[in-house]
Amino acid sequence: MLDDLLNQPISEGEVTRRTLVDMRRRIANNEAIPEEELNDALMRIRKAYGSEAKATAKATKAPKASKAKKPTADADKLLGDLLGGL
Amino acid sequence: MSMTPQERCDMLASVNSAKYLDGRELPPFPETVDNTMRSNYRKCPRSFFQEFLLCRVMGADNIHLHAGRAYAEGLDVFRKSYFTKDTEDYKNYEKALDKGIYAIIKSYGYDEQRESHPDWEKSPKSCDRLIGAFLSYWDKYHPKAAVGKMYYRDGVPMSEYGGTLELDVLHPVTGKPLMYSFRFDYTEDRQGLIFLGDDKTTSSLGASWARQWDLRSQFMGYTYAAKRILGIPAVGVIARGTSILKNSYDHMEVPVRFPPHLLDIWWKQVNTDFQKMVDNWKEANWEYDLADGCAAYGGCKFVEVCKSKLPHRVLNSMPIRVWNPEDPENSPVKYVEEL
Repeated sequence: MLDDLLNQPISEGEVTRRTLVDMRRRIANNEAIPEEELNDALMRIRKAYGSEAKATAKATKAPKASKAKKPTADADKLLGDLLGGL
Repeated sequence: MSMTPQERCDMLASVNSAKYLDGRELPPFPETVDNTMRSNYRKCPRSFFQEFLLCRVMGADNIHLHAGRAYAEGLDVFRKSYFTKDTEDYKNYEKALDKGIYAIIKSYGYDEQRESHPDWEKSPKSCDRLIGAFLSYWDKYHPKAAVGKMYYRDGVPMSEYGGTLELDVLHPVTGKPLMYSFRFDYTEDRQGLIFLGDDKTTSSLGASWARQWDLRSQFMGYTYAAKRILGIPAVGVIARGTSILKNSYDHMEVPVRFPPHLLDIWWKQVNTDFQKMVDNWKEANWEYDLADGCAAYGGCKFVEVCKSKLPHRVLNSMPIRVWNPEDPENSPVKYVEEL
């Protein structure tokens, strides 16, 4: 059972996520990361999250509903709007 | 006598807030001010007093401010890498993206405890979402396809550019003019018209987001100061918004022009407001809003202070952070023991 789990292939997305967490931890700890390793990691992150960003942008360009939605107040969203660009 | 932000921080930490609240002592007044302070003062003078003169803040780092800083850092690093001429990476798009991603990671940091806080955990402004938004931004505003072209000053791309502007208001202690600090994100030439740029992260973009910039003091200040201090013939500001949600990103930009008569109004108003602050300081009198400002945006952080019969006790429990408009990254912080 454990062997099966250990031998399961890890998805590309999961590898990228782990790469990002690893880089974040090491950069925050001021570890000296070999240039080649750093460049590879950044390229992997750029490609994976870039593709995802493009796919997301396309998905959000779906036709809008004709009926206008009534605006609703959301304190967290408003706070984010106010402070986000400061 | 001039005081640095660190000296103000040390002084505030050595005095019980009770003395400031009842006027036995006057807290040091900042020598450099900015639009954040003005905006806060206009909403509630009491809140301004507690946040920018007594410099009390909430303990937990605010994710919106934190993420906004990291995002801005990434965009700035991209622009400087891509647009700086005579360098190895000039106009190298992929390299500029990688440097920007690195800057976001570095600025965002890694703190499992902080990120497990409910405010952080439920927010879409996580480090990986910021990177996604950053990449989406440059996909949308790719330099080769952009309407505006980077504006250079003395051969340097004007990204994250700022300075200080001398106000007509005098500091209540030193007698020198108060300095108004400004910093815009980038500068563009759009078919001969110079615009300053401001990047904002938000949760949603739409008509109401686009409508809020026409009389924005922050932007008028940029335009006024760019003309007067930097000698840039700016006509206005481009507000560029990035919405970051759990499952999507979106972008919108709104160019806003400020004709000279509006800039004159701004200059007069901003001096009036800072003069009022100085007068309030001299009188040790800070009015309360007691209206929408107390409840807006999830509630003012000082509600418990203002409600308390012993407000100094609540204030004394809050950390001190002296806002440094010229260099926000270096705003000294101090956790103080009960005095």
